[in-house]
Amino acid sequence: MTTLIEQRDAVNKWLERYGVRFGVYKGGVFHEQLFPFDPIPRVIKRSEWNHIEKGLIQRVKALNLFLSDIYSGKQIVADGVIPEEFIYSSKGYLPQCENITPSKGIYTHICGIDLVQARDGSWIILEDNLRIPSGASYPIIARTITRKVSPHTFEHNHIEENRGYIDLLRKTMDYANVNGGLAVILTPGRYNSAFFEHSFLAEKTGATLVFPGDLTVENEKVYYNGLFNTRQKVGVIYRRVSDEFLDPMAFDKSSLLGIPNVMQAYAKGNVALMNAPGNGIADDKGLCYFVPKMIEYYLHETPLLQNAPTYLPYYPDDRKYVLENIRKLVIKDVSEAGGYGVMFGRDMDEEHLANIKHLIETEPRRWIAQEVIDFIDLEVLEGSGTVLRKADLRAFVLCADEIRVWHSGLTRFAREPDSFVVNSSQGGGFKDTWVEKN
Amino acid sequence: MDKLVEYHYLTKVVFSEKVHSHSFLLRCTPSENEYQKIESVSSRIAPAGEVFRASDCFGNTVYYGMAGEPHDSFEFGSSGTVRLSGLYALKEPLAGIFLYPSAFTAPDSGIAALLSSVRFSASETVSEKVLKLCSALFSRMEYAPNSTTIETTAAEALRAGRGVCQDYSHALISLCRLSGIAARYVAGFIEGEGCTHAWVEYYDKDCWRAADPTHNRLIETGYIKLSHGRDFDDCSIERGVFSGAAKQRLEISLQVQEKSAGVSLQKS
Repeated sequence: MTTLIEQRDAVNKWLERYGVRFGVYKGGVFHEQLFPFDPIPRVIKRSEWNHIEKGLIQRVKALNLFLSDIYSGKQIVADGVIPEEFIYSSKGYLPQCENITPSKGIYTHICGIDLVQARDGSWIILEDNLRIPSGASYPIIARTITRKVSPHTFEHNHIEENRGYIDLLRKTMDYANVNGGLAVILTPGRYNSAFFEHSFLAEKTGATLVFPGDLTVENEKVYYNGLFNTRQKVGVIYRRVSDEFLDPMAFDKSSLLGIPNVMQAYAKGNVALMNAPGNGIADDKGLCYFVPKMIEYYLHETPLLQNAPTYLPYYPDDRKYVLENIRKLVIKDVSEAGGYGVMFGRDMDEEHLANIKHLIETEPRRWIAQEVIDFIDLEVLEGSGTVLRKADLRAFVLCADEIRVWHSGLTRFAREPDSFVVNSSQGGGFKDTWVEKN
Repeated sequence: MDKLVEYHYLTKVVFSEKVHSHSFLLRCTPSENEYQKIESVSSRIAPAGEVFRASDCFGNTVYYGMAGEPHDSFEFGSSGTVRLSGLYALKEPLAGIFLYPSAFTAPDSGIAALLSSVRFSASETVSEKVLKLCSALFSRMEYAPNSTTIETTAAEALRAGRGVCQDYSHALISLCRLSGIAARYVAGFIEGEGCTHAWVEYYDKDCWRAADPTHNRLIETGYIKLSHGRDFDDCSIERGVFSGAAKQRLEISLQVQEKSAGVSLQKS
């Protein structure tokens, strides 16, 4: 471990040489920044991991069943478990996906579930990312480089290999593939915040990295138009283009990032899209409250992992509680993502508080409130010593013939001492995540 | 009292330079329902490769495909004869989605203020309420072609106090949904107009009835429906994406005439 720490600068230098970057838009201007790596790994004990793993599989299973239900019979709404307003007024619900059954019934191919560990040791779900969660590539690369600069580290520590992600991903793509056609990764392009990851994953999985314009739909099938007029039928698209831009015929008509009429080919079952369009309804912040209820409803099981205690101002009792206790709560705008629209009651001045309270009263559906989880700090190297920083864990869950959890994950930490916001788009750093071997 | 109506609709997109790899998706044929029966219809799409037909998520018929070869114009439309019943009422179960705001119909304080200026009485029917909303809107909006764009929302149009049928419809939908009446956007044709029209269907007890906010009236018959959705965006008559740096110009022609009367009501 000491050698590892001594090699921090060497690792970060390698990361820079590899071009491990994260794009950030600030004030409308695109900056590319390095994603700072901290060499002290987060270590998770095997017994603890087994519990997390079971809980995540249970959760993803329920979320997939929910999506399948919502885009067909909506039994969970008919049975009064979730009010219809939460479905129809969510930006994540896409009627264009109604009655489309994706390949093998899988919606949630790659899930990034964000958890934190509370001071009592329990793991708590912060949010589900079921659209295009990013970040898996960083720990893989960091570990590869660490191996290079400190080869002995992994001889002495018996931890799970993390290169297996690539196989998991490829297996997931192959399982979803509808016709044995070409497997492609569709990137919005060079200026996307996760472009580095798109090219990395394509290279490692052997999938073809494609750009908008490379794919066309003809005769209800998707083709890749390669160099020298080659044309290949596409069987699965791991798309890193968001739903709204995916098909200008079905969604945002001004999109130049999409594949015109791909939704028709998808509805016909001629191509697999991963993740499935329309998943935004299941990871909508306003729906997070209902995930434990989904687990009970679809699986008849007790949730193994808990959400942060969440209140929906939509319900009058919750609204009253939120308005009275706003100082100790965190308030989230359900229409925002990536750490935006997150406000801590204790940090707001009187004017800001009054403003938010007014918004909660006039637009209750737009907000959720959560108890602030006092999650544990992790040691982060700074200068010659260490400091304590808040950190979370993005666990990756992949769905193929069965649901598997990657035995690693992305541990992100906040840059500032008092910050609870760890999103990379907000300037945080990352650590490797070591899962103890069986 | 049925009405037999014949129509001819054609749009020609003229490109300033040749384009190719032109993907398209069209909603340009009348829907079939208990109010309107299609006696005959033929669609025209040219140039086109193989054209496919499907239903979208709201049940509208769509035609889609790709015109791959270079072309400098693209034509689409349909002609046919439609039998309209005397009563525009479509018996369907209520789909909850039409109760909630959509991108173009999200209310703002201006729409809420207009709604609160309308006094409803307990004994009023849904149709009477919708007509009141139409009138309130009509007194606040002026019909002004080219004053808005296809991106204008209900809130923006009401604030400007001007618009076309699309804006009137979005505003009425917003008012209806805000007052708890399910409402949806309809694209179609009417006698006496040279281009496509838009109006609103609202849910009353067990069926969809219709109102035309641009003309400040409830609809009984005479309107040919193409498609419906949450708002304009769901009912695009044409969407297209092509390769080529061309400017486009539209030529639209529409004739609607009652067959029995045999009088052409409008040409353009």
